[in-house]
Amino acid sequence: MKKHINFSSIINFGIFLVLALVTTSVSAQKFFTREGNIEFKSEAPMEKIEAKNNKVSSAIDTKSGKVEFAVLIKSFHFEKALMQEHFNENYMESDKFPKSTFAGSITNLKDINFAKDGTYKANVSGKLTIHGVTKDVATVGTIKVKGGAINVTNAFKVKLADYGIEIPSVVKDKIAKDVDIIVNSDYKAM
Amino acid sequence: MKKVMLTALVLIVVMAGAGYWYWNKPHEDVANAEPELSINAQEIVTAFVTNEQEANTKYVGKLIEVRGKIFQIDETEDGSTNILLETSEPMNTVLCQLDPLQKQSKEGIAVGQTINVKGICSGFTADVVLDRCHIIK
Repeated sequence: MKKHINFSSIINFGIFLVLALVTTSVSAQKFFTREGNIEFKSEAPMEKIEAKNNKVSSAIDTKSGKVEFAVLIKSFHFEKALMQEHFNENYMESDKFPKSTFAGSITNLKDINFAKDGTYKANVSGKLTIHGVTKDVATVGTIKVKGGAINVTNAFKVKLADYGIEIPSVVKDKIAKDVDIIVNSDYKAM
Repeated sequence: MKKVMLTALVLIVVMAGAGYWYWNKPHEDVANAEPELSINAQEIVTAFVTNEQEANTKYVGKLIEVRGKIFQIDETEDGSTNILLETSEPMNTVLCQLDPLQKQSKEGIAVGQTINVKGICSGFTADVVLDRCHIIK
């Protein structure tokens, strides 16, 4: 009789283990995209400077809150070829620094339910590397959960001088010192 | 004096014209350009995974021809077509975005097919990214 009870409790424990594993694997999801969008805009008196990149790679780990972005500078497309050339050669030096990255984490993970459709505010902080210079940044983004996929939007300003991006003195008054970065990316569960 | 004025005027017009052309100069003609290098998808991904810095110097900014098997074709919401070429690691592909400036026919492209693509290498995220791609027939 005693043996029998032990046996069933082992089975129960086994069921519990399996359930626990299944639940963890469902909630410990990773979201990923290789086709995210980042746009930048700079309102200058002379001309509006804007460019788009639709091949941003990014991953979000919903368990640890880790967030990663990798953005290739040469994948920013400008309408004017000359502007694209100047952006790459004179400002970003993309031959030397082809990639910008962000590595950080969501600090209010408990406020976001990745398993439930809805719109959530995400506080994100981490290290942003542009033009070979790494800075600590913090921003608030929006995460939309819908049908098992997520969309992330965020807008923030980057001060060119912070990242050692020099504006030639001839055009100093014509180019804004801050640029707006707009992120809009759809992720799929991995 | 009249001659000098006329020459000056012609010069100004020419310079203004050149300036205007320069400001509005067209994007590079990739469709008709010869690739500088030819490599297969696995090789270029391995080069970036092994030593990204070295691969950056070797490939970034260059028009490269890559040969590989189509692993996935993505039609994105903004109207772009991205062809992913397979390697031994599903997370590391060669992402070839078809040229949005010089359009081409996408007829006959299918997953599983082996193709040659040329495009300008922008670098490595988790994928090697080629911009302004053209399929070589």
